[in-house]
Formats: sequence, C-alpha cells, structure tokens
Amino acid sequence: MKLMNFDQDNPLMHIILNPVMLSECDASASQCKQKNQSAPEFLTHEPLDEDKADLLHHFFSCLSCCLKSELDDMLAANSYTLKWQTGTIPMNNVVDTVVSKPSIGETSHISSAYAYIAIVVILNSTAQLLLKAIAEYTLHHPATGLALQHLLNVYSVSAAACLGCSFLAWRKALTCIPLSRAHPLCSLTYIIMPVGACYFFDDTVSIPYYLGIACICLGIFLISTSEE
Amino acid sequence: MSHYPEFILIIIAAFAVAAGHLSLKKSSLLAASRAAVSYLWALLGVFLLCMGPLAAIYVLRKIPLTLAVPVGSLVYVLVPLGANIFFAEKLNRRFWAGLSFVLIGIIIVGLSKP
Repeated sequence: MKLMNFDQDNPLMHIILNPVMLSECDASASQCKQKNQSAPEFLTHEPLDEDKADLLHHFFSCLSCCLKSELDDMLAANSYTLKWQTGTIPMNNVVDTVVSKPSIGETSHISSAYAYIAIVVILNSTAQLLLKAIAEYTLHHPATGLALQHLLNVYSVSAAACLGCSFLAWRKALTCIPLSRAHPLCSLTYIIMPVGACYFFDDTVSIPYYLGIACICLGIFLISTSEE
Repeated sequence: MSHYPEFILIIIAAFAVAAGHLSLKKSSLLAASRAAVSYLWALLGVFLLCMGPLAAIYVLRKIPLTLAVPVGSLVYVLVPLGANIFFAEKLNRRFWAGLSFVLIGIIIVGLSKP
C-alpha cells in the first residue's frame, strides 16, 4: 500500500495543517461584521501562533519517540531505557533522546519509569488543553455536513496523538513500577493542567481550588496504596 | 454552580469511562478461555473510554477546563468500587478514606469561586 503523500499540495494535509482555514475564517469574521458583532478573538488569530506550534512540536516528537521505542522493542528482545540527565535539558530534547540502549546489567528501569510518567503527565495535561481548544473551535465553527472539519483539524488530531502516546508511555511505565506508585504521580496532571489553562485560556484559579486539588491528590494516593 | 446539566453529563461520562476500564478487565479475564467474547468486551471497553473525551468536548464549551477536569478523578473512585462489585476485589479502610478525600476535593473545587 502506498503511504499518503505528505506534501503541502495534498488537500488532506492542507486541512490538517490549517485548522482555521483562511477563507473560512474570513467568511465567519465578515458574517460577524454584518451582524454588527465583534468577531471572536479566536477567528482573527493566525491559524497557529508560536506557543501552540511549540506545543505541537512537543507531542509530535513524543509520538515519534514512543512509536520508535515500541518498534525497537518489537524488533529486539532487549529493553531500551531512557537516560534522563536530570533537569539539565528541556523536555523536547529528552523525548528526542529517549531511546538509548543500556549497557548489559544496567538497572535504570526505575528512573526510566519516572521519566515515562513525566511524559504521561505532560501528554495528559496537553490533551486536556487540546480538548478545550476543540471545544472552543466547535463553538465558533458549527458543524456542517459530516463534521469533518471537527475531526480533521489540528487540535483533534493532536489530542488523539497525545492520548495514544500517553497510553503507550503509561504501559511502558507500568512494566517497571507497580500501579500503586504510578497512579499518585499521575495525579500531578491535576496540578499542571490548571497552570496551562490559566496561560492558554485565561481561566482563573483560587486558593480554595488548589486546596480541593490537594484533597483529590491525597485521596488518589490513599486509594492507589490501599492494596498493600 | 449554575451549570448543573454539564456537571451531571461529565459525571455520567466518568461512569462510562470507569465502565470502560472494567470492560477491559473483563476482556483480559476472558482472553484465555473465550477469545471471541473477550474481543467484544474489549471493543465495548474502548467505545466507553472514547465517551470520556467526547463528553469533555461538549461540556468544555460551557464550563472552564479547571472545573471539568477534577471531576474526572471520580474514575479513580469508581473503578475500585466497580471491581469490588463485579470482580469481588476487596476494599479496605484506606480506600474509603481516599474515596472521601476525592469527593471532598471535587466538592471544594466545584464550589471554589474563580
């Protein structure tokens, strides 16, 4: 089977790469003008601003890395581990260098599990933010016909990629450490996600909110360690 | 808390996701003995798991992300409860303490004014 041609002329790629297609954007904006409404800020934006492009770069590198490591695992019986030089390199470099072959007898499985969990947490938070982005997109672009524009825009594709990758990374992490240790760490998503929501979507959070989040995290810790 | 329908929908979605996890568990239990039935359970599980993000997209049109996502932590409570009911897995005091903390946390988050 011939794979899809990934060039700019391909109409499908054009749809995927330009979630808010320019013509559509102009049309909606002019409709708003006719009704004497100010166009929503979302429509007047460029299709992708730099922050979002960075975000996309993050998890597409995660995707490629996870797929590569899955493939490598299938091809070779050896397990590959992640060498994470703590804190000195940014996350997108980490995921680029995830796959490195350990020397025989090296036992860095535990630390690699924590790195995978970090990837899971980041991907999950990103996926939640993307779901919010999809929600805003559907709000401003009511579906017509088959709603392909909702399924094939950059946010939907990226959210699906995020969730898929986080699933793969989660499975990897669980091969190294027990669920009762992995689950509480995953609740870090509830701490990171609000920060992203405040930054990207102008949500506001208060101190009682973080109190509630602390309660939830404590509860998840108790639940996941209750088996012991 | 003027968004009761949305909150109820996202709680239903949490139930669906928990049911999805339990279906996958059922599928893995049946994998050795009855492969075809196990496959059907796995399909049902994946379908139910997909309900989570879809409901989230609908709900997030009305309520902010910071309120919707913590409700999703109900899944952590519902899965062990379901495992207790359907697979006779045992629960201890630590679980019930955790359950109450999660519920209290969700209520605090729901009531916190931005």
